[in-house]
Amino acid sequence: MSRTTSMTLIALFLFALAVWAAEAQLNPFYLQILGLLGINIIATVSLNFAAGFGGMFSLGHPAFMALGGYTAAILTYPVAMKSSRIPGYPDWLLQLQMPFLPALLIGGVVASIAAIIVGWPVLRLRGHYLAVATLGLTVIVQVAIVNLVDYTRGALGLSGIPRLANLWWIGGFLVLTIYVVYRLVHSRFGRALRAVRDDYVAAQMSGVNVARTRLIGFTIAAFFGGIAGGLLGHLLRILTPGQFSFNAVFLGVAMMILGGMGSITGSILGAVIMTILPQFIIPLERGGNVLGIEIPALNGLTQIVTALILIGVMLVRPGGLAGAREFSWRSLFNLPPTGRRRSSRHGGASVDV
Amino acid sequence: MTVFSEFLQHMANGLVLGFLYALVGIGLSMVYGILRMINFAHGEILMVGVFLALPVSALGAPAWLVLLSGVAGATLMGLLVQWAIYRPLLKSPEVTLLVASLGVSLLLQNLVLMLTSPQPKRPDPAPFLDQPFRVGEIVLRNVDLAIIVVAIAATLATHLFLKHTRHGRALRALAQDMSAARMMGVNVPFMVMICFLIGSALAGVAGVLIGYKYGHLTPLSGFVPGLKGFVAAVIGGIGSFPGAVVGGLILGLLETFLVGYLPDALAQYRDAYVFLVLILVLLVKPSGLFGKPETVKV
Amino acid sequence: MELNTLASPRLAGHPGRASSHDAPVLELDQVSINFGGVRALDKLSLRLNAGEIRGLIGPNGSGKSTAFNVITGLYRPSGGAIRVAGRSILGLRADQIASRGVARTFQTLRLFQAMSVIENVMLGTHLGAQPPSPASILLGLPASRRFEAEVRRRSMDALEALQIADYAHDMAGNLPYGVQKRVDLARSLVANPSLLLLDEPAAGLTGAESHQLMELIRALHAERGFSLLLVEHDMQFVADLCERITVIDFGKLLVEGTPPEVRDNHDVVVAYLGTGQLSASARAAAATDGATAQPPVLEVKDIAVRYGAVPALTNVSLNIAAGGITTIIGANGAGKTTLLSTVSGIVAAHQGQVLYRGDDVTRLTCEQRVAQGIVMCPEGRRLFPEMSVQENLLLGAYNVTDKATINAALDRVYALFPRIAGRRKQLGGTLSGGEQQMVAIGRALMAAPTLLLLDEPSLGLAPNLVELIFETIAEIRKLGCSIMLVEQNAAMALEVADFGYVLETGKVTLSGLSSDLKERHDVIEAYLG
Repeated sequence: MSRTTSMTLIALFLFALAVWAAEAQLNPFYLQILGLLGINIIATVSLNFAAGFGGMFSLGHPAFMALGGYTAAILTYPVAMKSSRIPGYPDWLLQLQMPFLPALLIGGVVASIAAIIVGWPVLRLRGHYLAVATLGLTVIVQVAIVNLVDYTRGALGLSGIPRLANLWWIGGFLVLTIYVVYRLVHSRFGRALRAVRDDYVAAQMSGVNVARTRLIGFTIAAFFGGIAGGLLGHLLRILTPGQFSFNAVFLGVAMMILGGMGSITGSILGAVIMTILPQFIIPLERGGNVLGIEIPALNGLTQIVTALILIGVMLVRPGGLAGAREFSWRSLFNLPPTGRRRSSRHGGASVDV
Repeated sequence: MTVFSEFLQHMANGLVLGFLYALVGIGLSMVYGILRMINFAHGEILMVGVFLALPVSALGAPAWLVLLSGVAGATLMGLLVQWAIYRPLLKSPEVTLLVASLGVSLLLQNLVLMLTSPQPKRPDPAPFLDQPFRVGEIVLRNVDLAIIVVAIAATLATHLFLKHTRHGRALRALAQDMSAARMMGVNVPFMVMICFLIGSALAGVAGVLIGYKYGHLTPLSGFVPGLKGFVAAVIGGIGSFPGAVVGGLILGLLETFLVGYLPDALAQYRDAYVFLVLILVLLVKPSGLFGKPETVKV
Repeated sequence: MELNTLASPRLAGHPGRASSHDAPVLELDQVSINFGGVRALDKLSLRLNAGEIRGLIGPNGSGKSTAFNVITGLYRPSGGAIRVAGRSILGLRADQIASRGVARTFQTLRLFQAMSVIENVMLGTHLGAQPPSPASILLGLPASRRFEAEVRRRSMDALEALQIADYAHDMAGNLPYGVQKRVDLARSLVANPSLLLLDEPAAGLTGAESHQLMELIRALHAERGFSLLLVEHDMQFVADLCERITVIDFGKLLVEGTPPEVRDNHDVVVAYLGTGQLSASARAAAATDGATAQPPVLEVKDIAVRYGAVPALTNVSLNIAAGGITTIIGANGAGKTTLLSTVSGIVAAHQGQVLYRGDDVTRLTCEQRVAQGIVMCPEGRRLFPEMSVQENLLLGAYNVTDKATINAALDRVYALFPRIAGRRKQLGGTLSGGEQQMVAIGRALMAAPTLLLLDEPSLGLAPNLVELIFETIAEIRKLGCSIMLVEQNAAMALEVADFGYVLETGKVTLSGLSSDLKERHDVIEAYLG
């Protein structure tokens, strides 16, 4: 087993240890924050897969999270409450109550199907057009949720979702998401995806089917977005359309660009900062006494900070904190790089540079 | 009301709405034509304009003065945003400008929220504007008439500027071939400023008119009109001035007819329909009615 | 040189070598394509046999790049048939055509900037053997690991064969131009194509470098037997490497033959250099009355320009005489347009100075230079397509505010070009090529320039219009402005100009009175090798 693999396994073990300790020791408030943190990381890493590695700047990720979240919630919802709260569904569904894992996975699949349907026509749009079209998707899904009251409880929100998500589930899917994205990025598919991002004309010349590559990347991102949504619903025990609105779009973009598009490490960093930071700002929003200074209630301060981050990063350091760099054991411990070979020393008709 | 007069009523309402969309869309279209960026904050500039006009209205000023202050407010905001944020990023990749404009949109929404309250506001009532106005069986209010008159005047003024002044010509040329325009001595940063000035001014007009017509102003009131203005610009062909006008009217009519004729259950999805229209247009004819197809350079 | 490592039997998608009694590897049959009103390819037919090395040459705008784009599926032809190894490729996507064994390089390289060099080359193996299944990838099964190792090894070998292995893990976007070119080449070679299309492989390379490249290509070809179609402006390169050459002009086949046959062909010479058939009156207008004692209106001192990593101009120095016509001639890719762009301010030089009437204008923007009287009439006309003739002309006078001056300028232009006077309201995009050129020149004149920069005014025009344009240029000189004329049509340019400079791969190689340059054979060589 190589050095780096063993390091990764050790890190995983330590991570599991940390999760166990947190679950055992921390109070519910902090547990929830950590849970949200994990979910945000999953959401950001998956968004970055499509936007940063695939070059598809999508503002529709909240829509996929909503689809996955509501689907999973409906499937695990206690039968007793279903017919009174969300009577719109056919009987067989109203009688159904699933365990967590299959519900979560089906949520992801539903999000994926939506991604394929929407992606097939929309992904050939470039840059700004794709952004607006996917923003439209977020609007459409949100409007649908608000209006299909018999299926979703509308704007009131679907409360009473069983508390099935804890740090183990979230941590597990977190590791899975990062692992899958990492593996894919460094595979033949990932190279093709990044080639399409960098220059889709040249990618075609290498035999890459641009439309299909984009669609697959977009769909995989949507799948994990749906998983994140499902985890969210079962952590907070409630889902509302407001959670998947424009603010979610802005926050998602902020997390991604703060860390750096095209870097998994960056997405994790960005998600961590943008999850923890608001916790310090929210108290300020209510106003009151801070260090002896009287501050009035500042509504929307969190959003303003988010906005300033969006603008500031673009003006000062558009690559984000990590740029395109990834964490690696090698750079951390200064191990020698592998795979580097010297130029050929063979004789014959060599070409001198 | 007969079926026909109901149709005419919807038509009238749709045109009024359409003119509003046109006013918003023109600015977006012009900016995209030159900078190839969608200014997501355009709707917020509209909103800032009308919010700055509210105190003027509260002081009892006549409607036309309120309108002017709204225009001034929006124009100043637009110029400020352009100077502070978009100008430094002119040479950056697409995504950077897009994210920055998203940031500006969020910032403006919440700055206004923080400085005012979430309570919906309206300009002080102008009794004249609320008077009903009848044409046969069609009922409108004077404010609707005002919208049509002001919108036509503003659009006409812009058209004259673009067609008959040297800066207007330069602006059009810049949208068609930036490099060649520079060779004529056109100063690009100055033109970009003019472009934002006109677009923001028109947005300011739309904002105040929306305030008088609907009255339910919140810091979030700009975002959806901004996006719908974008849809209007796309329908007409982004980058095209007549396109934005025609696109706005088409969108206004479309939305009004859909809401008017669909059963209530489906009519609530009005915002979603607008986006569906956008997606359809982008898929079928992305260059819109008057635009040129963008060919990819190989 | 480890050439045999580039061909790995296990992962080869398609064999490079084809036997001689197969169908021709590439066949174009009466292929046509239009862009707007312009016929970019006009019933072009071409036949490339297996293992052949063919050059595709032609003057600027003749359709060479378009032909490549049509063959590789980036454009759809409006007529005709295209077959690769006997099978039609019409209607196929570009990536499907690539899977038939067609690979190409790009004039602009088109590397994947945000990926490392070795990852760029690994893309070349995309069409190789059966890829591992998704499950295998995700679970990290041995099959996928073997696949990756093999792909990596093949790519590394390709990098070593091209002597750029040290750059394997560097970002492709940050490398020197010569290295980037090799990466592009490695990427297409590792795909083991049966048909390789090279788009200006020697562009930007020095004489020694292009010689090495030629040797390398020859050796690779001998080893692997692919068929090669090559677009190049460097005639020496083409003549040394290619067995046969196809010459096209205006999208049509002009001549096909061996290098000596092509070089001696009269039509080819005319296509490149033009004919010098100026009318007597024009010649009289062009005649100078002895040397002007005035200082030069423009001095270019030691200018160097690059586009990213690509060097375009190196140590270029020249003077433009006041009140005269100076012409810059040279083959495509020599840097003529870059030179004009640097003088006009569109492109910034990273070294050297531009002095205008004695003042240093190197740091001035394009707009500022226009205000000083340096006006450019760009290559390809670049009229504003959706504005009328009159509006285009008025734009030329953007900096002028006095109505009377503008009207006087308009009258002057319409007098110079009576043909467009009747088309004032017509949209620029709907005019014919000749009319567009007239409007473009007129537009530049509206600003009353002191120094007029003309970039290839005869490009794509029929011979009688070419004459008209050049006669007009001679007339313009009478208006008192100095002219810097860039032309590919050397014969006409030398007829009308007083003084000439010859540019070759970004350097000035010859200069002198046009009357002297007309006689010299090295001018012809600069074009045709």
